[in-house]
Amino acid sequence: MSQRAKKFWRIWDNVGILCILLVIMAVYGILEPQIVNPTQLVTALKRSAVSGIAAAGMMYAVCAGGFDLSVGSILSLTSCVIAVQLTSGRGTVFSIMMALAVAALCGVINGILITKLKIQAFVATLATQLAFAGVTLVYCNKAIQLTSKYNAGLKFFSTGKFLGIIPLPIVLLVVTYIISYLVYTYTAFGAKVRAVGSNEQAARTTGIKVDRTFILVFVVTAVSAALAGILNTAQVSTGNPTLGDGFELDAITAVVLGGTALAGGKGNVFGTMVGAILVTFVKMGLNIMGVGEAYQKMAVAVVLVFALTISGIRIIMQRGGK
Amino acid sequence: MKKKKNAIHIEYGDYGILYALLIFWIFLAITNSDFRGISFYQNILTRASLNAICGIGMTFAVISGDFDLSVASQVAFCGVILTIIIPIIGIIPSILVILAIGIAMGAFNGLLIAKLRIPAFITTLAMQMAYRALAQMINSKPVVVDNKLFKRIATYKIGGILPTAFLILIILAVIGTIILRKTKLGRNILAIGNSKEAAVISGINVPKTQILIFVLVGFFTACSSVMIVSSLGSSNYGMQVGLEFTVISSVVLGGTALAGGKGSIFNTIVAAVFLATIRSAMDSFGIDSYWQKVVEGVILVIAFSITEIRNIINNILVKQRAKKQLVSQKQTTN
Repeated sequence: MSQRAKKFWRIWDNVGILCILLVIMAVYGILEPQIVNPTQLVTALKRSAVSGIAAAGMMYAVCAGGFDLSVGSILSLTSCVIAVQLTSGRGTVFSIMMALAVAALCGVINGILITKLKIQAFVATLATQLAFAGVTLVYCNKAIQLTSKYNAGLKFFSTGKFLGIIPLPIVLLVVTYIISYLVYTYTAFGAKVRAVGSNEQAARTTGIKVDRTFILVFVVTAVSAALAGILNTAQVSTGNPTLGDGFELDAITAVVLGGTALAGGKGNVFGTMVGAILVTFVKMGLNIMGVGEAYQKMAVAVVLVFALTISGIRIIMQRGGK
Repeated sequence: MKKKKNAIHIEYGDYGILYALLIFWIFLAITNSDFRGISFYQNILTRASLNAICGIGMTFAVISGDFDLSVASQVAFCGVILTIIIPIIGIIPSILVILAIGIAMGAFNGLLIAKLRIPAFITTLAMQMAYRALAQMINSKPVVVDNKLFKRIATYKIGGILPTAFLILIILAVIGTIILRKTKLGRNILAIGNSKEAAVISGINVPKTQILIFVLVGFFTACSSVMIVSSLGSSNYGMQVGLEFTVISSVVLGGTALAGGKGSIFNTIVAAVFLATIRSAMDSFGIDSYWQKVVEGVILVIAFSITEIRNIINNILVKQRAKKQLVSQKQTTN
């Protein structure tokens, strides 16, 4: 790859996705000016917290050369666990802890299937997606409306304001990404994830416990999906066994859009965040313009294909046009 | 040459799933009188045929080391169009149109995968959403097919015994097996599955073959869509969600290695019948659909890990045998 191309991709990594977001905003601004005003933007940020937090975890999975298709089911499961626990009179903190523990267990199961039974990550999580969705429905087969009696504590996450101005979901989103960035850049875990993702064999030879790293990565992914699930449950005040259907696509789109290499080894933390905001914003804009659900789904698919196309072009260029 | 005799035969002689199916059938027939009548087996075969037809295409994809997660949405998309056009242009033209659409969808998937070099599973994950959304855009309400003749395609029983769906499955399976074993395309697919690098070096046009693989997937998926709509008598954009799980499980349970390079259509079909039997059995034992989902997921995990489990057992056996040999050698030297 020529020097110029290298420079281009370096700049792209930093601001490319942001530029796309601005272009989309501009297009929306021309089509329907009311979409791009401060209140709407704040709403978009608030909504993107859910897929954003899940995408933060997914980035680790992709960076380690894996994949997690089961996050949608884990999100639904979390939502149900929390709703059932709250309605049976448990405290908010306890319910949240329960939900996180269940999610962590799901992550461990995924990790063990992938490392010990040597199933490819996306295939294993495809199977667990089905299994977790089944378990969720067995556990709680219809949506549970959380009345204000049970929801008082949880509601704080979606309506609370930090310092009286900034909505809490946005704070959570930003904090998640700052933590994610610090873990990715400065900790041994982050380094191990990158090492495993870029060359598993080499990582093994260097003495990295690859299996343990992988299991941890899937626990991180599952727990972040659970956090997203808690936030989403708080936002809609409902425990819903189908809340997370198709959700994995949003998270994956955000990660790919953010510039994380699908082959592993190279993540982009803040790109992922902007990617998540972009996906939410595209959906929300279409929603305001009054197009149907089908078109919103289509839009996500198109955005994902677009993101894949960019990463494909990049790989082809890196291989010298072969 | 002996090899020629084995052309249509399964290459690595693994009939495990067939034995499992027969044992399971005998077990069911002994334990419960519901499972003794011929109609039970007719139902299973019909039910299995609908998925197995799609499985033929998927077998090609898995052999080449890829996947297609968008088959369920393709079925829905084809189904929605099919129900709309049947009253307008008649049965046979509409089936032809659907097959053409299936091929076009497959070609589109293949183009994305082969030309942009994106892993197949993530491309088809995106297309899964896209095709489903397209189906919903075309028609968001369920449509009933009124054509009696069309409904009979999948439900008629020849001589009152053999379901037509199964007969069509067999015909398509023979075509598929011939493509896999007798044509250049089939050999190329096997070669790519064994080693993509080796295939490139030996001069196989890998992108072209990949596109053709997904065209085959699209074609067989369209066939299965016709059968499914015919048997249901209606279509709906939300139909057959999760079909890809059933199809992929039957391919993998049939012994087609996930790493690619080997596989057989015959075993895929047997595995599809096996899965349909499990489902029917669960239905008759009154297990609710949520538990069925869990069971399906677990079966999928077992199917995926079966090679590794086999490896682990083999390793243990080899070690034991080595130990025994060592012991007996020591005894003889003593």
